Parts: sequence; C-alpha cells; structure tokens
Amino acid sequence: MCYALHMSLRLIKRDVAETVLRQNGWLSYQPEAFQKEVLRRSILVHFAPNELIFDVGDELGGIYGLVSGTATINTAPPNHVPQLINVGAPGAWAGESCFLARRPRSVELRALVEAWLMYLPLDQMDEMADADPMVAHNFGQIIMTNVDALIRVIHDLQRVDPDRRIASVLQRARWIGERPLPLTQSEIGTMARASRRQVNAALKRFAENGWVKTSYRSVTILDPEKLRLFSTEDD
Amino acid sequence: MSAILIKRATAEAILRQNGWLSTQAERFQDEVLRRSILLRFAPDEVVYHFGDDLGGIYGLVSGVVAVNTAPQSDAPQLIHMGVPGSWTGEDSYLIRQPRRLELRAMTETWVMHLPLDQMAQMTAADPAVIRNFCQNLLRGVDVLIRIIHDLQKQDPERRIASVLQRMTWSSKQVLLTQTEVGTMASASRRQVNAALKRFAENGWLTTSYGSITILNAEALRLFGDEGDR
Repeated sequence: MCYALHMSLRLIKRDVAETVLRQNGWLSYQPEAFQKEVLRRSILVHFAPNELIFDVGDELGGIYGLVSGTATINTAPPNHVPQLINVGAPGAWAGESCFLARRPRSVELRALVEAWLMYLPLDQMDEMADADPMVAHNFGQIIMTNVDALIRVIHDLQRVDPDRRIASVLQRARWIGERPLPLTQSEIGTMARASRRQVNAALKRFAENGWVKTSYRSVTILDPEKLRLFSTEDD
Repeated sequence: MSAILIKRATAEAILRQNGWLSTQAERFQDEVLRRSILLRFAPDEVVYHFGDDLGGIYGLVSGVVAVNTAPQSDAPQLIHMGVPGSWTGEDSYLIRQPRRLELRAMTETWVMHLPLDQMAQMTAADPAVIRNFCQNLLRGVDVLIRIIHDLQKQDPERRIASVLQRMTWSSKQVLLTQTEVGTMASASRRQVNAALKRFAENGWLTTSYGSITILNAEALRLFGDEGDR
C-alpha cells in the first residue's frame, strides 16, 4: 500500500494562481505594470498541512501571497509564545517588514491545510526598488491591509459575550464558503478567547439556528450574514 | 484653565529622543521637523475623526491621546493611549483612504503635525522616505499585536493588569474611567472594580474617586503574563 498515492499533491496551474492574486487582496489594487512585475519575479510554492512558512525571528526574506488553502497567523509580543489570531484568505500577503524595515520576522505563518503561495524573494523586491524606488509605496500598502485585519481582530476580542466573539471569528472565515472549516474547537477558542466548552455550546446553538452545520470535529458556515448580525447586535 | 505653553525647541527635542523619529537618520529628523507644525489640543478635543478626509501624520509631544478604532462598519472603541514620541496617521499617505482611527486628546495635548502635502514633497524629492514612514506604521503593528495578546488572556484580572501596565507607557496616573478600562480589557465594570481592589491590596496601585495611580507596573506586568502559554 503506497500512502503517497493517497496523499498526492493537488496541483495548481501557474496562470490560475496568478489570476487568484490579480483578483483578490492587495495585488488586485495595484497598477497592472506592478502586478505583472511582481508575478513575473515570483515563485509558486507548495506547503503541506501544518508546515511552517516562516517563524518569529527568522532571517530576512520576501513576501508571500496566499493562492489556495489557508495559513494561520500566529503572533505575540517579543519573548512570548505566538498564539493563533487569524487565518489568511486567498489574496492576503504577508512578510513585508523585512523589505521595508530590514527587520526579522515578527509573526509566524503556518499552512493550516495544504496551501499554495506565491513567493516574491527579497532580492527581487530590492531589484524592483532599485529600478523604481516608488515601489516601496506599493509594498507599504500591504501593512495597511494587515492593520485592517488586526483592527478587526481587536474589535472582535473586545466583545464581552463569548457567543458573539465566537460568531465573529466564524464570520471572519466566511470566504472559505460552504466547506468544513479547517479549525479545531480549541483553535476557534484561542481566536475568540473562549473555552472549548463555550465553543461547543455556541456551535450547538448556531447549528440549531441554521447558521452553521456541525459534524464530528468539523464546522461548516451556512449563513455568515446571520453570524455577523448576531455578533454586532450590541455594537 | 490657562494653556500650558510649550517651546518649539522642547517639542522637537522630545520627538528627537522618543519613539519612531528618534530611530531615524538625523537628516530625515531635520526634514520632518522643519516641515511640521506644532499644535495644541484642549482636553476632549478630537485630533482627527474616524472617516475624516486625507491628512498627514501626528507625533505626540506632551499630554495623553486616546486611540479609538473599529472595522469601518462599526463604531470606534477605545483600544489604546498614545505615548510621547508616538506618531500615527500614515493611512492617508499610503492608501489615500479616510482615517482608520480616531485620536482624541484626553488632557491638554501638544502634537507635531506633518501635513500630507509636505510628506508628498519629501517623497518626490527622495522616495527612500517611504520606508521611513512605513517603519512607523510597523511600530503601530507591534502595538496592535500587544493589544491582541492582552485581549486573548482568558482571566479578566490578567487582561485588566496588562491594560493598566500598558497605560504606564504614557503616565503613572491612569486617565481612564473604570468603564474605559473595561472596554480596553473586554471586562465588565464589576470585574474592573474587583480587580482594582485586589491590586490596591497588593500595593500595585492606589485608587481614589475617579483616578488610578500605578505604583508597581512591573508587578502588574508579571501578573498579567502569568499563565501565558
């Protein structure tokens, strides 16, 4: 029995990957010539489930754009163990601080499921900046997209009611569509500051309302809009 | 309530010695300060609103500034207090979109304002300054990560201790009501009240009607970090 056969890679075509990044997130807002240049210089890379993409304190490197699958963003202040705070959606880019500030990685990025990412190496970014220093402005905009995501995480965590925090966290993953969420109940709990018991009870309630579907060890989001309305009721 | 005046030279020295600008090359510091305007805000005055038009960046010289924010569809909530030497407001410069934060003076406050057109002129003369401005935004990201980390703590007392310790970055006198501490720590007023009582018993702070004075920030930090995985 060859397990490798069962665990064969899901391949992705280069032009499909480029289209995903041209149509979603930071790169989709950039001028055509810049998009072209980024993609021309990028490498499409594959990560297995749970494989580390980069670690806190890692040496300088380039930026990664999520094409398919998903990756977890784990962070903490210096000298603390990184904790799961968010999962990336296709079109999200990360790792810009090395290029902009020459500082080592301050977050951990890890593939949650099998994932394909586009990698633009640091030397390629530097070459682009040598040819046109204004590209720093384009790359700097990645920080703003990440600031928006962090502000949303903070806002969700400020909710006092655990059910509303859990609903917000689930709603944040709505882009996954009607597929099982690749998160355990304890991972949802970490993101929502809730105990496993609280997550379990909330999921049961949301399932009764028809907002999610739960089966053994998996949750599928059915009605993200209802989750959003419920989570923002007290706002 | 006469205004406390601050000399331009003193203001520049504060920003040259604290926070983002102090880490930048001297020529860049000179250029930023040469093009900046020193502004005074009265207590409770808004520096800029959530959703305001494009504008430049602001560096806190003295006083205390509350930072309120939320995703664009929601009402802004208090998340942090600015520290002298901290700068903010690069969103307009980088993405030409309305303000992501609301900044409000809590006490009489002096800030240095570098207008957007001055930032654009600096960039046109030398695009390398884009990275200098981005480095400030990355410092802001570090603060957001600290806030998230504090909010992920399960025990409300540890969240409250972490928030109070963070407040000592700007002043030993915490200029927050119990409700505001609760908003920042995602805790009820009752939980804040009980925590303050216990922290006062430990000698980490004193409370008198409407005000909290931190006596031992390090003890609050250690307590806030206990149980960190």
